Amino acid sequence: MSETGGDANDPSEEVLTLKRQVLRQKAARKQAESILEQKSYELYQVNQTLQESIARLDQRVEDRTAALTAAIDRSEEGARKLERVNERFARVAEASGAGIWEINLQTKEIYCSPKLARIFGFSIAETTYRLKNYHLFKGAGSEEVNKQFGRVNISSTPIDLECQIVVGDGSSHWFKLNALTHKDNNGKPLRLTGAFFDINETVKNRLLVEHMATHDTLTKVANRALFNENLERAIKESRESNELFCVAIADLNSFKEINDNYGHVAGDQLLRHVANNMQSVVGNTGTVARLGGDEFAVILRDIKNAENVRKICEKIVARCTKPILHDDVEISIHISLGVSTYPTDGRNIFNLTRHADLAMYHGKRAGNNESGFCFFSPEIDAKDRAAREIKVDIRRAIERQDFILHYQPKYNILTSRMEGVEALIRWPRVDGSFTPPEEFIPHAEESGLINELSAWIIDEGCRQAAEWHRQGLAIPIALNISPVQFANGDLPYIFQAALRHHSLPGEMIGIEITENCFIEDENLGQTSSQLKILNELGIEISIDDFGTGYSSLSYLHQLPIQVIKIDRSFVTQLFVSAEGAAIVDSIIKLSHALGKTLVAEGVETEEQLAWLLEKKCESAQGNYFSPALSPVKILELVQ
Amino acid sequence: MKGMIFCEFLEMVEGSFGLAVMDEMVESSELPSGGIYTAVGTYDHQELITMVIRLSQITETPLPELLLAYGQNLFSKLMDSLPGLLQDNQDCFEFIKNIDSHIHVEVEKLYPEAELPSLSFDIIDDDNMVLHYQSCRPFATVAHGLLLGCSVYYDNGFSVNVVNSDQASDNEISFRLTRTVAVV
Repeated sequence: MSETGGDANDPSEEVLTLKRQVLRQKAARKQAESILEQKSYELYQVNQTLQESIARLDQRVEDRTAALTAAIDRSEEGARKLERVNERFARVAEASGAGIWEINLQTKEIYCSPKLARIFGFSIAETTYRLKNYHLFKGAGSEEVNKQFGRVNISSTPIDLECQIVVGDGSSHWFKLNALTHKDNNGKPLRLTGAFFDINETVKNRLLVEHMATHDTLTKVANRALFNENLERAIKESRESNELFCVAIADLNSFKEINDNYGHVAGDQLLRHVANNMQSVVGNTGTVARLGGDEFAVILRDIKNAENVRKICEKIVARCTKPILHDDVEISIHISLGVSTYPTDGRNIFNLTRHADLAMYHGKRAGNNESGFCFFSPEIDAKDRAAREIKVDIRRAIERQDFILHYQPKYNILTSRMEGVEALIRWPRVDGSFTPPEEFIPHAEESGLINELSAWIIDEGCRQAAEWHRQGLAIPIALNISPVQFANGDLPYIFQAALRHHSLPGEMIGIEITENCFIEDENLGQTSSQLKILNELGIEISIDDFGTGYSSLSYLHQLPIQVIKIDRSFVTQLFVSAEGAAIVDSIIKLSHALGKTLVAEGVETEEQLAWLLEKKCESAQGNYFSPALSPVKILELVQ
Repeated sequence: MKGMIFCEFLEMVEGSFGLAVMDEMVESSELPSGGIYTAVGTYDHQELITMVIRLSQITETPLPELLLAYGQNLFSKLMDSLPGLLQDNQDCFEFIKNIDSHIHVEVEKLYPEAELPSLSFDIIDDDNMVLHYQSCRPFATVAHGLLLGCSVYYDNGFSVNVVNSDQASDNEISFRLTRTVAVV
């Protein structure tokens, strides 16, 4: 019996069982159908939702694709623009000559352009390495480069400096370095970007120009500007350190003759020889400068004492006076040095150079233009001051017409008659005495006042001669003319004007010139032409102090010289030595042979007069006859 | 619980004990569903428990034996209904290891509301592993049966023994699986 209450084996029970089974299966089927229908609907809805999602996704994809395409286009365009910019940048960088670099201050990555590597002469790798280890830059200014690179994380100031860096081939090269630090919004340094510009040629040219502005082109030593600058510095430093230093001024004696005789090429070679030898003696401790022409200057530093300076001067003189070879000819020069010492002889440029100059001229005169050196001393200064004072006095005397002429009679010793006078300038002193001509004439010549003085002498002489002439007295006046006056070339016109002004025949005036006129004018060009004109005016020309000069005697027959005056020094020696008498005898014979008239100067004794008479010397003057007299006394003598 | 489980159970009961027993089991269980099951439906698992208990009573067969037999029978049916589960040339141990990580995942895709047991493994060596079964439903014995069915499916490729049976429960149990044919 089953739980359902029926017999399972009962056919009717079996049928019921089957019926129930069929009913359950039908119900299950319906249930399945309902579930399937439900699932189908759910699936349909899911499908719809999916379709909608797909549509939305498609739209979104489409939008995103469009946006992406646009972004890609923009990116590509941006990339093309960037490429063009980079290309342009690279071309500009290449054309500009700049070597560009960049350091990422965070990552320490370094970019180095190929141009920079080429400029430095290293490989890109080596250049990059040196940028990273900037302390490897060597050369003048590299310390500043290191300092600036070390400050990039702190400073915002752009780097802008010039520096000298040793490049790949080992040479030093000038560069301009510009760099700038880029920071973020918080001020944090991000990158250091910069460029090196090759300015080597520019700097070299600039240094060359600066060098040329401060150095003498011919000799390569310092010029006056640099000399003054170095002297100023020496004064300042010595003032602070209480050290001595010396200034030497050097002049080449008779350099003009070298140029005239051997040409300017030889002269230039000599100047370079002098400069080089001075430089070799002075070295790096001092300064050698060419001030101009044949004038040099030296600043001697680090000197221990006067003996040290003396030795240096001796060396300079010894080396500079060594001869040079020019066209197989040996040429040498004489050099005069004058030395002043700081602070004893001056504390400023003016005094130091002036005193050295004075010492140089003093030494030159004392040494008769031979080589040597002279230290400045208070005595030299005193002499110079006196010379300056006397020049002032001369000028004043000229303006005030303080000078007078006295006249020393000349006698024809054959007839014992006065045949003329020699005018001698006198400068009256307050006490009635006279300043000797040898005390002021050299100063007048030196200062150029001789021209004014001579003009006055000529005019006064002509006036006096004209006055005597009007009185019926024919007393020719011989005027002493300095060689300096021939240099101007206007002597004939001065005489012409004076003769015309005083209505005086030229025969009433004569001139006496020394042989030195011909030493200065060896070609006789200038002197000769003037003498000829003077002669044509009727003016008699005498050679004064004959035998004491150093010129050749060729002028005696070339020039219109009428009279030879034997120097007093020979007359004095007549009875002192046989040579003295022989010289005078020779002069007399020579003069006669050339048809010249003779005048013996400085005759003091009757014996001298007798000897001259015997030798047939035509004329004489001296204290035996008369000293120089005033015009009044001359008149008395004549009358 | 999916209707397929119930349908297979009823089919197994009918096949093993006859239509009358099945009918009696269903009618006497007073099931809320009335014993009407479709494979695509979802029903309370308690109905299955009720029916199994009733079947045990009707056939005087111990409950574990019924559940074991059911599980064993169910395995091949599951294999037939879910053809994509078995990968070609898959070793039995590999298959078992894939149940939780692949098969259950695919089942959840098809039946999102399914409450599937969780499985974990301790690999002892190539021929031995311990399988830990845990479920919210008291079907540990069914799981045992499924494993036996799996072994049969793989030509008795491994033996199944309960591990720590004193600690086992209807919801949680561990099996030691040992290959009967060693891996070469």
